[in-house]
Amino acid sequence: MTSRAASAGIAAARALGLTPDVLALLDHMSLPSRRPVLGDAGQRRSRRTGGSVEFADFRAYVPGDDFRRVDWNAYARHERLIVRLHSADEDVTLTLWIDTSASMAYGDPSKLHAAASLAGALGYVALGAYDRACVATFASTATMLTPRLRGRSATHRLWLALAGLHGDGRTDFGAIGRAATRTAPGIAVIISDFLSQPGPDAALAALRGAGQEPVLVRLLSRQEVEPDLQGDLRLVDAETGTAVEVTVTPATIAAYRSRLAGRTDALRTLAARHRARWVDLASDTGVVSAVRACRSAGIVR
Amino acid sequence: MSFLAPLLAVFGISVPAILVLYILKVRRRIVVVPSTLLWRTEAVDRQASVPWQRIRPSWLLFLQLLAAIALVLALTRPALAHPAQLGPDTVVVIDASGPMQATDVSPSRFAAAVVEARALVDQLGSGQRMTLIAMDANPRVIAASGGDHGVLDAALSGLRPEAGLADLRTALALATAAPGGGNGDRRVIVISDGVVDVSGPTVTLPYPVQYLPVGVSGENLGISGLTVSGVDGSRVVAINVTNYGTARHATTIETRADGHLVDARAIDVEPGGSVEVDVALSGSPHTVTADLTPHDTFALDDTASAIVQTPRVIHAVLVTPRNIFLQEALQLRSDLRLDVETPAAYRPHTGVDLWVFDGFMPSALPAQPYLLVGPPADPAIGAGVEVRPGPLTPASAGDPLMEGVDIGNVAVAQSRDLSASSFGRAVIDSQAGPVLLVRDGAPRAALLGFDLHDSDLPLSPAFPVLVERLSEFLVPDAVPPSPVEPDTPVDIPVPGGGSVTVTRPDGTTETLNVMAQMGDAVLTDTDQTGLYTAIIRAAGAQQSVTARFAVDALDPARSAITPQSELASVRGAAASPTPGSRGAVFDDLWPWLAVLALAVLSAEWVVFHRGR
Repeated sequence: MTSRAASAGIAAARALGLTPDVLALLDHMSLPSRRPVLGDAGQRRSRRTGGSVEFADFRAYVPGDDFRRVDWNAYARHERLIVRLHSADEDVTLTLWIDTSASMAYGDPSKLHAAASLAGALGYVALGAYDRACVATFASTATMLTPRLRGRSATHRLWLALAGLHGDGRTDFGAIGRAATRTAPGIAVIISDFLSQPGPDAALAALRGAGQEPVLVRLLSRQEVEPDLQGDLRLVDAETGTAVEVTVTPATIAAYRSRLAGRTDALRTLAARHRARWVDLASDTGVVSAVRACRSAGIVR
Repeated sequence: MSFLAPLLAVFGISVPAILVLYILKVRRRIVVVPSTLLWRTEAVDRQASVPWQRIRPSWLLFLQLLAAIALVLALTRPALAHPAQLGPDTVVVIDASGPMQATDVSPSRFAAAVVEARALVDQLGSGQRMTLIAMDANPRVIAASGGDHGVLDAALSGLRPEAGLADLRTALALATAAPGGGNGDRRVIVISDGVVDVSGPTVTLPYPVQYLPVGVSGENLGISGLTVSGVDGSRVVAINVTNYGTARHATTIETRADGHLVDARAIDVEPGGSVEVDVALSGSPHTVTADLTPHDTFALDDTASAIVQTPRVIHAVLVTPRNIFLQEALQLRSDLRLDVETPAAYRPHTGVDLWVFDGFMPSALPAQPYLLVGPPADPAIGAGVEVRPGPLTPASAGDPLMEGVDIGNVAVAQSRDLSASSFGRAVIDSQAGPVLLVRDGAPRAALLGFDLHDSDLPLSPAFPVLVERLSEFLVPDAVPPSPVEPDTPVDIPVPGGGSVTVTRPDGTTETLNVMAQMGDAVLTDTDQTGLYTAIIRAAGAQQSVTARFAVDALDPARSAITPQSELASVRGAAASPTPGSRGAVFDDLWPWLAVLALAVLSAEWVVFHRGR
């Protein structure tokens, strides 16, 4: 990595709110693994036996086993081919799915900026712990912005990818489902406002089928949580262009809040059904508070 | 139902206007939001691109339409019409006579009549006038022609029923004479029980006359007579009780002497019949009161009072050479003790109530009342030479002194010329001047200008009556000796002037001042029944004289309180509508609609703010 790229990465981190103080805080964090994951040799112990040097067990040879794992001493004593099994030390791949639809461009700061900051922080935690991380965006289609990165030195690349995001298009969670098979097993963090239909139900099923542990992070702007609208309005959807005519009164606001609460409950229920973690954030929360919320939810430790 | 302002129904356009406002979409501010997912409501159809929308059921719309309809209806002034009783000029005659005190309708006939009159006042519209006349024994206008409801209501509020009998004839004369009836638009409405004095020919009015009867029952038991006879120690009270109704009635007569109960007697009286009860009085009571208990629906005639009078004796002295006619006529009075003297024997002395000088003129006239008959020529009394008077005529119609005295055929050969006399006022006149003069003041005196022997007057039936009248005038009773009817003026003689203080049965007093030339006070406010006390203070007298008299409602015409279905002896013109008069009156409904609109708008305000 050239020094120019490093400088650009640092600038991107500053733009994402990842100051040295924040990074110092993140240095003490790492990704947990709630269940055994399958992976190649790495920092994490896997229940899958592998090619590491730590002995785990014996089992009978079956055709196709690596002859190098045959315990010849045991063959000499028992005249049977027995294979030595070793535990596999595997790392975790953190896939950061960021909603880049048009609706994410709203808020102060924008939801997309908050999503990029949080993704930068989580990616820094993963890469700092020698796990793997990659960034993918989705709107109408899914795009893998980075390959699976590894090592702290790759954070600059990750930040550069996140700093260049902009919102456009319609949200389609089906794009995640279609791209899920192309991602490595691990933890999939979906950061979105989840203000579209259909919801992420199919995407969560596809991720789980692909060995991903899904995490749902919802980001709403303060204006969406506490609307400051009033009067006779024609509300135009930023993604679909459809309009809704409403007369905003206290009663209308109350009904909106009721529907928002209902939507939140539905998403929380959906996450529980897919054994996914759920984090609810506002775009003006700040990256430190957001990371702490993720730690409270068990996404980092 | 009618609409008094139908053109204002044009404001009904507000109803479709409200509907249009609900149909048309409002111009809305466009706001781009991240998502409309949470703003989508059931009103998906509002998103149609057309500029109108389907009306959805709404309480606000319903209430606004209801308020608009109520207001538009109020503007058109809907009214309930009913036949008009009033014309452009209406005279309402309200019976305030004694029978209207009957309580056969609650609270009384009079109160019911006032309610009817108020209803008529309420009907009075703009441009209409009304005159109110109270009809009792002395009918009077209580509210002159006008349209001010306040004035008319105040006049009705101040009206009270009297005790006398209604004088319908005078009331209708007042109704005819009231100003404003010149163009024939007048209507006369009589609110009465029909118990009125209608004696005489039928009254025909040029206006429609409408009779609004009040009262439902004529059942009444009343005292129709109360007399006290005898002398102290053996006096007897005769009480007559008459049943004026159509059913048999029982009652108890309670008799009191000087306020103490002396007799109570139960009686039954047949319909239309009378019962006389005699009650013996012991001692020397001054007053007697009879009372029917319990009182019936007409209490006015359930009580009667009388003064126990000791017959007075008038000491009269006739100074005459000889006049058997005059002597006999004077002696016809039972309460008069007559002494006869010749002019030669005449000596002025006291103890005489009345002097009668026949053909003789004393050198000094006495201080007591006197009658001069055929005096000699004397400038002191203005008696001149002999003249031939010719036919005699009453000097003024209605003079009480000439009541029952027919002098139309009386011939007088010669009489003293009294034309220049200032003796007093003329009672009998002739072509040659007055022949009978009387003088009020103190003492009272009378001057007959001719010698009775020069006339056929002593031979006529009028002579003893005239002598009776003159003697009563010259020596009057202090107060009426027998009960008088309510609302009858009572003369209280005060010779020489002075004052009279009258205390009525209810304790109120009235002081009447009497000038010397008048000679007596006239008490007109006698509508209360019961005992009156008059304290007479003659001018210059050291002591006052107390006299008592009774006012009783004994007149059967008043006590026959049966309500009449129509007014007898009255005929009015046909009650046809006249130009300028309305055929109906209207009860406006717009105030109720305005209140409804206000209530609906209040409800709309509440619904709106609860839905915000």
